[in-house]
Amino acid sequence: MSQEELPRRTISRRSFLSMLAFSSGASLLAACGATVQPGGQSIASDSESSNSAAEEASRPAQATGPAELRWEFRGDEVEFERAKANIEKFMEKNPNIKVKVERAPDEQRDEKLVTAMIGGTAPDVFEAWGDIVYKFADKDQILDLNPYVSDLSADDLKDFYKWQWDGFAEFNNIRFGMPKYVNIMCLWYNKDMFDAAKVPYPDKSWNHDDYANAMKKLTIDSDNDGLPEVWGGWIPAWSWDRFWYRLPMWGGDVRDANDPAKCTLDDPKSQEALEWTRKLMWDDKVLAQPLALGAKNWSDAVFYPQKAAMCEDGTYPQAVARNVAGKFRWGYQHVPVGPAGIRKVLGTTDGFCIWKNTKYPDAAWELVKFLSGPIYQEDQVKATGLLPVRFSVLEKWEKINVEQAPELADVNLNWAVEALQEGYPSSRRVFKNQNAAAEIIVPALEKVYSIGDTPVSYLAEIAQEVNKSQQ
Amino acid sequence: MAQNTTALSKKPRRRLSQRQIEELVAYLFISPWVIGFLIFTVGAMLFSLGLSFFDTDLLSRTRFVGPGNYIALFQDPLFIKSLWVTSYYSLAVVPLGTIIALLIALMLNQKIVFQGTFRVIYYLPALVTGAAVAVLWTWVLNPDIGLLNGALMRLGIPRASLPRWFLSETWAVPSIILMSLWGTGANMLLYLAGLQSIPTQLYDAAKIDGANSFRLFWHVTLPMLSPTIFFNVVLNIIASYQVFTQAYLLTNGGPNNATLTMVMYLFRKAFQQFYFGYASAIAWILFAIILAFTLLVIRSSDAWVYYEGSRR
Repeated sequence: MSQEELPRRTISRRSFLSMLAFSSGASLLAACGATVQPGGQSIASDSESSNSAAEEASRPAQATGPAELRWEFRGDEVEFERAKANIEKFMEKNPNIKVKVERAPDEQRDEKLVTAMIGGTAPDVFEAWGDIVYKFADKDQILDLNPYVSDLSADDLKDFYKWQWDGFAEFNNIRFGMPKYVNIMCLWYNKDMFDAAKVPYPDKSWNHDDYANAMKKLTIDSDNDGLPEVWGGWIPAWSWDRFWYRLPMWGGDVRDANDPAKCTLDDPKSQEALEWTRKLMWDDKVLAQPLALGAKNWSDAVFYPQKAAMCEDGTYPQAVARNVAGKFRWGYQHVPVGPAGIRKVLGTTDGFCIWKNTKYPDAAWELVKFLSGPIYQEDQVKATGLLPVRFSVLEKWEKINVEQAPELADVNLNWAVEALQEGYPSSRRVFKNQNAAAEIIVPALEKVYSIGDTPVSYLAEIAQEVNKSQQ
Repeated sequence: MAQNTTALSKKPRRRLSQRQIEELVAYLFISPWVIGFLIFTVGAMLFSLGLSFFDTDLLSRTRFVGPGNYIALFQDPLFIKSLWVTSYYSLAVVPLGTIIALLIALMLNQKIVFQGTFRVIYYLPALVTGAAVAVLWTWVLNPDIGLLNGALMRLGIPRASLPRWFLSETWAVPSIILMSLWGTGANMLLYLAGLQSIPTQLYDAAKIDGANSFRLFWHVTLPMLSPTIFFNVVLNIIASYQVFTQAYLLTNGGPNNATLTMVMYLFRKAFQQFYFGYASAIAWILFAIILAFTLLVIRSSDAWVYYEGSRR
């Protein structure tokens, strides 16, 4: 070979063998692995799936010696101090149990809790509710309290609201906690605006036609630019938490009552309910359109500055009284009844949960029993004004709130007592695969209600997609 | 004689040389960082690489899936959407950010009254981060009562034609781009430092040869500033592909996933839905994309980056 002739570039034996080994390894990897669905969930056989419901529930063993518990408390500084004072009373009655109260982080609490669970350092008792508890229950991180509630007497059980009590047993057939407080949705209304528009105040007999008519009369758009200075009403229909309860009032629902894998947004009655809200928001322009996404666009942004005459939100009498600060007269009322003669609102299932890997399950049970008991519940009402979880304390709820803020005598707090006695609130609807359902439904709600350029029939179209995601 | 034998049989003690001692001390000084890097960065990266081949929630389920997560990602419409959103954001923010920062730096390099005050004003937005920025821009870009739409209406644009910013699928990503460009002060500072280090003799020589302002900029300023531009472009590519805070605080990925970035999707899959293996696979794909773009820019730098004293 002359010097000018360059050798031809060929693959050497070593390179060929390396490539062969690499591709064989990759093929083996691909063949051995399970299939993964787009979105992350792998397809597993039934025998592989972890399902705590399949095991018979029983009380786990407790570590020996005095119990030391950590309780992660959610609330502001004032409530935190009161919680600690109450825990002193608990520890006096239970000298073998020491409780350390820690304040939950204000931001990304759930993510930090997950990390703590993975690291084995989660608190023994923490707070969760229907919207998030399925995440922990699915991962078998929550102690099933069914074996423990048999300690409770029949009178004790009757003291809880049946719909809320049942709501605590909806996930994976376990009882995920003991009730902490209850929040039920209601109608807030600005009495001064009703007086100025000469519209009679809402009452319990209102239906949705009365509701819509009042909104139209209360809306003020003096320059007719399609942007009212005052909206007749505010309903966060773009929120997963709040859009669903209107559907049963028309006779529809988000999902089949007996089949958590079947979406019923395509049901004609569901569609009518969805359209009622959309039309008032984007065609009639009397229901406040969102000004931003997420938590920045909530009732406090429209009700306190008097940009909306009515709002549908939860029951926080002391917080509302503080924020209104005497600027206008206001009141509470039941959310109007629907065309199907049904009244339905969200009732929350906020509760105290016990981490499944706690060393002291019996002690933790004593703690959560105390926190749901009448002593703590009454003190919680005094500290926060929030609705208690027991009928026996509910009798005192209105009186305690009026003593804390006398202006509350005029707001019809009795509506909440009626609602809980009638039992029409309901915990939120959750799908079998809630993550997959929310990933489809929430963006669709944003298209229809936040952006406003999409008809409600789009929600019917995505119902099949939701059903497929549940497989 | 016996003493001499004894003396010869003893080997001299090895002493470390001064250079060896200095090396040892240097390693000791850097060892805390190196150990931390190995454990918390390299170790974590290797762990996540391993995780990416599993379907796991790290709590109740761990199942080997091989490349299943990677295959599923490219069939996942939401992942593809997040890839598109992130690329759109990056391809807009990097060039626009570079140009705007450079223009501001050129202006601030002029000898004008209150030069120092102007420099502070242009740099201040870079100091404001996180929730404060989110609150501010939620107000500025509010479609109905925001400052920007108010200004546009005063220019004669009818209300019905105004963009709805965060409440529009079309305008949501431009909103976040706008927000990011507002904080371009940090890049501007680097360009300003670069401009001030350009020797004035070069400008004098060029002027003597008859160069006008544009030629001075094109043939002197830009080449001399090219290393700084190169550095900024590489860092901005890396940072822009990891965009998260703006989307998380302002829109949470909405409306209708219009601002769902790759890191947002990764966060959602990992910490909200507990698909840690899937999220790890997203992280490694993101790493590969950033690496590819960075290498592309580095490879191209021979053509447009000029280092003083180097030969071509």
